[in-house]
Amino acid sequence: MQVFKTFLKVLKKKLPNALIFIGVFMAIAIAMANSGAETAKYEDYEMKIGIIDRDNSKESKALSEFVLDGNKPVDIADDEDEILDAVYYERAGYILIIKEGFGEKLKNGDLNDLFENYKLPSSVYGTLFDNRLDSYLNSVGAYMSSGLEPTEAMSKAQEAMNVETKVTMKNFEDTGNDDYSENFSYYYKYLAYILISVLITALCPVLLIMNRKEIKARTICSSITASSQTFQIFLGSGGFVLIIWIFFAAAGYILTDGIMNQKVLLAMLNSFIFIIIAAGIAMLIAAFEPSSNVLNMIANVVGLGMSFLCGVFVPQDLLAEGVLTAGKFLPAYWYVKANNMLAGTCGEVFSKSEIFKCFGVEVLYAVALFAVVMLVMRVKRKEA
Amino acid sequence: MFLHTFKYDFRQCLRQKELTFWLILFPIILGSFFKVAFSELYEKTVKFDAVPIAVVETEKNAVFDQVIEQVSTGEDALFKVTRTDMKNAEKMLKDEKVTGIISTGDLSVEFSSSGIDQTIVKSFIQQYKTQEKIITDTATNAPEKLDTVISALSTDIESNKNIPFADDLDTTVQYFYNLLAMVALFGAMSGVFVAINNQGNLSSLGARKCCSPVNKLTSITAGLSAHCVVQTICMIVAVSFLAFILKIDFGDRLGLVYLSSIVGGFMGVAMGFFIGSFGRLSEGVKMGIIMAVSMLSCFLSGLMVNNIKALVSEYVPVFNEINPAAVISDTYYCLAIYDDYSRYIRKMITMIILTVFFTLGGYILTRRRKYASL
Repeated sequence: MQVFKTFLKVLKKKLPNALIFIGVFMAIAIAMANSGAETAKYEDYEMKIGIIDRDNSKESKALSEFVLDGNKPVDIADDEDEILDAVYYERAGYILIIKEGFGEKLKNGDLNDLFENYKLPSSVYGTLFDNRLDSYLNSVGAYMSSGLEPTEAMSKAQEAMNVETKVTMKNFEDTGNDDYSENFSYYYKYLAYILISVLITALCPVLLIMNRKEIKARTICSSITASSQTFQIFLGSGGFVLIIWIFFAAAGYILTDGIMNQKVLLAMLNSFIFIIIAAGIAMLIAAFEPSSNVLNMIANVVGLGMSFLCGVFVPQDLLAEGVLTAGKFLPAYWYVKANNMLAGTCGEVFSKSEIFKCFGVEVLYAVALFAVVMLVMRVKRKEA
Repeated sequence: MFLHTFKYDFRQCLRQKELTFWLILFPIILGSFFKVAFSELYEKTVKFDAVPIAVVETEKNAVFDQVIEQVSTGEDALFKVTRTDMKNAEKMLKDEKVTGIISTGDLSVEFSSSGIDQTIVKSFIQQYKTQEKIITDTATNAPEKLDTVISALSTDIESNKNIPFADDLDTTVQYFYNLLAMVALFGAMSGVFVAINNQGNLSSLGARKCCSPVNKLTSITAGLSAHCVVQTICMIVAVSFLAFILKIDFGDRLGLVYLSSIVGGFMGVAMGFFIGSFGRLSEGVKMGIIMAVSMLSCFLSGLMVNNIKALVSEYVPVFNEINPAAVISDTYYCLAIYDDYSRYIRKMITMIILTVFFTLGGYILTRRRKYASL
């Protein structure tokens, strides 16, 4: 097991470097997993709304109360820069400026030219919000024309707008009766990017050294057979990959308070198949012997590129048809699809047979990748 | 002497074909991927389209029918209505052909998931019911005012004025801004060589340089300048590709976009030089640290998840002011959004300060590392 031992020695040397990457990507994975979540029960969409009250009257306060009811207030200063930033980076979906003199105008029954707003052009939030505000003002106007005082009309209008509407949620999806938390699904989805990046940046440098001319020539002229060499390198890489997988799977387990059920196990299996694919990609890249300095850029091109095309960062149902078709030719697409099925997101429905179909496609990719790796290694060896 | 060293450093940069090749290729490949992936994103997420709904007639409701007719016709229709029976409607809901089902009888709604479209449907029903309630309220309390109330309900009011900001603003361009920031920070990978090639214990070239009689300051400055020139070429190619081939919207001040990219590239090189000058760590580890720093910097600036910058600005606003990737991408953002230059200039000054800080820091770390003649 000389080759295997050498592999471990090289790995030990390269470990600090690999640990830096594992640490960085771990941090990114955790931050990503916590950055988004959706709810399964029907809830009114909570909009993030910033209000700038330039009038500061009894009436404007009543209006703010109505506007923020059921929405999430965003603190915002009356400063154009801050407003633009908040809207651009979607910290607030809508910013309403209550103009000075709002209370006075309302008392006189004048409902025109009361506010200014900032929103993204033709945004959904905007449509929703404008509708609601118009309807509210109409109601206030109507109550005032029936003879009520402004503040009274406002509270009446708010009350009228809160009439109950019966909402039924139809659940068409067989959820498998298991709890599969949103954070967990985000974590596993982003893992597609993380695993590819980690393996290219951590495993490739070791393989590159093993491929170095001096070491390779020395091994080739020894009595060890070519297949035994390949086997030992695969064994070494496999062990390293397994440790990385256990590390990320354990991290996911701890992050989500140790939930363990059928869906979680399927997600883990999914990531296990995927890390083998990622290892195949890393070995393929290493077989072409790039210099270690450009590995990072390759890792980014492959990792980020595949993630954006296959729906890791951008949900699959938001990608253009053509992109999805192209994505089907990449393994990450199937990984993400299986994960979406587990979580019931992106219009996917939980179905065990469909999930195993995705796993099957992934396994085929893994087999194909390794076949190519072996081929390239053989050709390279002949060249040497 | 400066020119002599510069010449050889420059040639040496060009000889690192692989690095230069990838630095140039990297934004081209990823930029193209981004362009493809985001082709419909803005339309699909932010832009408003009529919400598809099914209306099931469980009871005759002429007024409601009329209202629904009104809001589902015309150019800015709120809904796309399909009238059908319950069974078919539920099938459509299941196949996600419609967002929700409205029953005309009790005006109840049925959804299969929740989101903004569902909220629009529900809030429409709510508004309808509100008006109904106001009219019945008035009819019982003050029937003589019914006509004025009804006309008040249907008056079009112009209460709310939208302040448009930047024409055709598409938030996905910020991914491209961050991509450029990443290319600029990758300049650090060549910057680290300036430090390594001048350190006798890390490279044979460094050893050779250390025993030459050239002033160290001159030698390092020449090296930095050479790498900055190469980085400038990379940045110009990257910006040109994004602006002219992928047609990314940088606003109409492209000259300044080039300027901030180039300065950003200088900052990247300086950052690499600074990190490279730290102690006796091997080249690999230094590279690792550089990658870790630039990846994290880009991540926190929104390269992968676009609202991360907003989250940062909510919790640690200062960080966005000094995070190199965020500062670079902010300069593009300032140019695209603001007409005045004050914020752009502030970001540029931050970039220059960071560059000077990294360069001086590197000088200080490498100074007095001399080797006695034996």
